[in-house]
Amino acid sequence: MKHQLFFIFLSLISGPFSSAYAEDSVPDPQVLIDEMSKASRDLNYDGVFLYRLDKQIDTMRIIHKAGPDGPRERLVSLTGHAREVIRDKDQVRCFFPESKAVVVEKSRVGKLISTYLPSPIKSISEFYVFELVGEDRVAGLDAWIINIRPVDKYRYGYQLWIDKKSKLLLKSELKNQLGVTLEQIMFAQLNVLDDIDDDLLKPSVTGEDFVWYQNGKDLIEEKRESNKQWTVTWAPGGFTMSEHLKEPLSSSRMPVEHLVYTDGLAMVSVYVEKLNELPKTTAGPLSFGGVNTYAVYINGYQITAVGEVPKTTVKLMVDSVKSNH
Amino acid sequence: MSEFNNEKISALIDDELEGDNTKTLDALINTPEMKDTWSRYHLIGDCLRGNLPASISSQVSARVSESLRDEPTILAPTKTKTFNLKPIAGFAIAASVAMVAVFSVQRSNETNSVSNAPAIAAVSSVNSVVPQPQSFSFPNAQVLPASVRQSDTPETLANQRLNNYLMNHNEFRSNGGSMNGILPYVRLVTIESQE
Repeated sequence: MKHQLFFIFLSLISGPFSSAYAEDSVPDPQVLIDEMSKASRDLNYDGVFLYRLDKQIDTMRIIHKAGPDGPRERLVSLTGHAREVIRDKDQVRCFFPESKAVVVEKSRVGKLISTYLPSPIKSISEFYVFELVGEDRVAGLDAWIINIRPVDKYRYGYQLWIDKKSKLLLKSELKNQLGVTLEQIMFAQLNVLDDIDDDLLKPSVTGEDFVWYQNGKDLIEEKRESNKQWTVTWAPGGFTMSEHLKEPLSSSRMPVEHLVYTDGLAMVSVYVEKLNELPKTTAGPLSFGGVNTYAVYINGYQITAVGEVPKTTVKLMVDSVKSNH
Repeated sequence: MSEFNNEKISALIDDELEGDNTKTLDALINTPEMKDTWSRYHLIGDCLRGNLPASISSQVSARVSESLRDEPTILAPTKTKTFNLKPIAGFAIAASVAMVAVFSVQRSNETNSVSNAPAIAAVSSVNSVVPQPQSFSFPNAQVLPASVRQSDTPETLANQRLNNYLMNHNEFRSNGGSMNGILPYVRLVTIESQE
């Protein structure tokens, strides 16, 4: 019924094109998003896209190769500093040529959202409205436009342009409650390929004279609940804890307790770290495009939430953190 | 309202207003007509840049004020050397959408943006409803040693900690949810380091 209405709507707005579109089957938005996820993981592709944040626009190239061990990817900045990110099943390497540095992070490719999540995730559609809102052309390809609108003020919305043929994501916008775009990604060119030369996945710099920094080298997943001291007592409806880790991170030698929450689309990380001295900055809220962070210091601990959700959400989550002891 | 004021608003938006803006800004907060003009000019600008959302409410300003009432007001914890926070913080409470833009204009003259960052974010407490200024900047310390060096100031360490959280979150992000892949790293690549 809904689809029929959509057809009527299409024929009203698109005039001469309506007959052509009526031949296509109009996909279900959620099915289309599933297909998009699969396509971006399982296809080989090489593309150039624009990334817009505030007034800044950057161009990047992404090369993605599917494989039995999971995907391998290389992201290269074509504007500004020639930064690169290379990701495979073992690690993520971020090259910062301007600082002559490489930061290595343990990869979580192929590691499924774990044990904590009731499966499947409690219906995403309870908290977002999915709508197929039209058609467009991006990077020379015909695309469906899907709108994902949050039902409350605790999450952001998305608008996605998905290639009708390959089902790859061609354009995406992160939107706040008023529909204002916070961040935008748009492909200018995207080629789906049978195979990708391994050389294309190698960094353009050797990193020989770079300083290498390793993050999360010895990932410890604490299985014993007794070692997990902290609980987030409030999260927006539909958010479920997907991970609860204790891992050495960053500039501290002490393991950081890390709780990950997701509603299936948005994700919030809450970090609790014991501090030896009181830091001078980063308390309170910060934002970077669609990413908001909020930090507080309590009894020698820093509690920080990071996520692609409104500021209110990270703040409320941080404020709800309680010690189990 | 006089053309003179309109010109000033326009200049403000374009970051071309010379000298002390305090009076213009005060007038902007206190006069509904000027606020409307401000909104209209921004709408025009957004339209020219193709930034318009699918639908626009003419009541944006009112809705922002409304949402600001609900929003806990977090005033900046630290004063900074380079400008006086007071008028700006005053703004945050009464402000309409556009204030954030004013702020980001002012901020662009800032050099000491690391220590200002919390203040900026606090002031732009309307940022859940407006395009956000890039109030988060990665200092050069962005590339962070895995071990603590003696020379690191607490300030640097605090920034490093946050940077690491962001990077770590990205990696979880890229495997979680429905929109996986390398795209979360896009942010990392574009982050401007402070030279």
